[in-house]
Amino acid sequence: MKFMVFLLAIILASAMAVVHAKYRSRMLFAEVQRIEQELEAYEVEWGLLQLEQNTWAEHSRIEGLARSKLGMALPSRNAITYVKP
Amino acid sequence: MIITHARTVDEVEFAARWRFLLLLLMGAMLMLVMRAAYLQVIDNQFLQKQGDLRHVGVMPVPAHRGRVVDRNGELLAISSPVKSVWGNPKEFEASPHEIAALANMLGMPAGEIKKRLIDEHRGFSYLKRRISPEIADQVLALGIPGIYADREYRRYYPVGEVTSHIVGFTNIDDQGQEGIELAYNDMLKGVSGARRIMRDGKHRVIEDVASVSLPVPGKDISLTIDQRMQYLAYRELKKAVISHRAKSGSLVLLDAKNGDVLAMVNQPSFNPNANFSANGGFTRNRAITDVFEPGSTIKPFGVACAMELGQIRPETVIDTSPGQMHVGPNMVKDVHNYGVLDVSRILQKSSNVGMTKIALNLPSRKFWAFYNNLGFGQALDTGFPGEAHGHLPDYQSLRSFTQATLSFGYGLSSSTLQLARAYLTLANDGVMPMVGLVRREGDKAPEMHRIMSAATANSVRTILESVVSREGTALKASVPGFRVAGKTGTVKKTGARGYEESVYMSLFAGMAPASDPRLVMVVMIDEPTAGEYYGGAVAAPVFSSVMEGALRMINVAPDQAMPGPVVTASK
Repeated sequence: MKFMVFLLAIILASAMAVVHAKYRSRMLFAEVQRIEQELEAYEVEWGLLQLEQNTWAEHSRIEGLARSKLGMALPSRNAITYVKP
Repeated sequence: MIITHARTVDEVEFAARWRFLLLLLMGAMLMLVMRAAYLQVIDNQFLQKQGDLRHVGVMPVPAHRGRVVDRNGELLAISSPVKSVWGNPKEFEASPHEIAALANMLGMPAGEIKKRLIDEHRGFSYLKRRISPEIADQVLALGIPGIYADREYRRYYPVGEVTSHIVGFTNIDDQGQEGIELAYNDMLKGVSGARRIMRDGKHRVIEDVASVSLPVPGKDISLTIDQRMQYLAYRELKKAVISHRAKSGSLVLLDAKNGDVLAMVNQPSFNPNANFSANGGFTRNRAITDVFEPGSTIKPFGVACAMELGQIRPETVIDTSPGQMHVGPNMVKDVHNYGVLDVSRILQKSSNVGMTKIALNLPSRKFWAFYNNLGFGQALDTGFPGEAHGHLPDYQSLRSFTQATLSFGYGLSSSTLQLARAYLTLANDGVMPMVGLVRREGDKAPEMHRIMSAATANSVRTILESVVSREGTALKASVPGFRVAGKTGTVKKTGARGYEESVYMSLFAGMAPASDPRLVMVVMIDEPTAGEYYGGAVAAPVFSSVMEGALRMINVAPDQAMPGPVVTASK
């Protein structure tokens, strides 16, 4: 009889442990999900920033700005001094 | 109550009936208990499963598609998350006011929403796919039942039509349809993951239970393209195609040392970000998929073959008068009667008669094998979809006239890229590297094949330098400061009735700097109709301007005598 009570106690304790472990795992999973979402948000932002950087750094745009705003031009061949190593 | 009532009415007569009924009810009760016990204890899996089916589900998690970048890591294609808004018509309930707000946010007519969500009897209907996540969040914030949003990816091509033929495009389900997107779809797409979720009675997701498998993002693809050169080539080719009112055009720029494709552009082009029609050939990467007869641009190889077999030397003299000759029943003609020419003048003047006389002295089997080794009629093995092999006639059918036409570029066909690959051998001292569009792992050296001796390649290159001169046909291909070697081609196109009278293709194939070539380029402009049509007038100027810029980009020192001051650095 005593042994039975002991077994019952153990089984109850084990059941509680299972419930607790399950609860913990769900909490942790929720945490993982939250962090993954955060990561995803950063990835979205990174992608957008890359796109933005690309748009700003587009060759045609840089060339246009260099020519019009900064008044730059390709040097003619006679204006180049070659330095030989 | 009923019992007492029954007894008072007629005790004896109904006692048996009563007991029978009781027994029946008891039996039914027992069966129910047993069935319940059976379901709960013995066959407990069944109910568990049915319950799970109703509220536990697995949702796919889309994987991030890999990026496509150029050799310097510049973005050519990138996936950005977007949301697709969909509705469940069975759950959808909204006031006209809410529908109007929804229509306003999604930018679609309210009638369309009603049609999709109220008149529809399915459980799923897309409202709008691929909208920005912010708008989707606003839509969800309206709190209309039966409206959901899923995460998807949309492909962006930051450089648009400049690189669209190479990179290709994907369809709405993110699967590659053309170009690199198609060829490397398996590497780019990754593997979608899955997560287990719980739903409530209304099928709303209430909890993420566990991750079944994590999505594996696709790999990035790094191309050999240099976006700066690509842009330059695109701009110059487009300008030329427009000003010469040509039908189409292609340009290929290769790294002479390792066969990397540095730029490959075509006209007409298309913008892969916008809605475009796949009809009309705008999406075709003509430089790889379209073949043509290479005409005079092939003459250097006929000369190289004869030199390789020891038949001629650059100073060998051949009489081309009277500017035409019979080969069997056929006639080969020159534009003028050039008289007596040495081999380098034959290429300079592009004499068909001279080439025919050289070619007819060559053993046909060896002559054929030489062309075959140069890759004419052979796959490029770039893995690009729709790659053309071109055509080289079988050597058994090589009659003398066919052999003559092969020497001046008719009777065989080649794509722009194949022609450029053949020119690699002249640029690279007789060795041909494999051409490639995707960077090799660890940038290891490509496969190399020796096609001709270094001496032959060098002397042909020297001859080709004289073509880009005042005496030759391609003065306009010259680049200030650099020695340029190349060959023009003006090819008559074939129509329904054989070769057309005045429909041409203008070609230029060349390399620079000629002392130690770093770049090889082929320019092809199809059907220029603005008057000029000679390769030296239409294609050569494009070569010149692109080559000038490209040489500057890779910092090649001029190899021509320098007019400006030269300073020697001292440490």
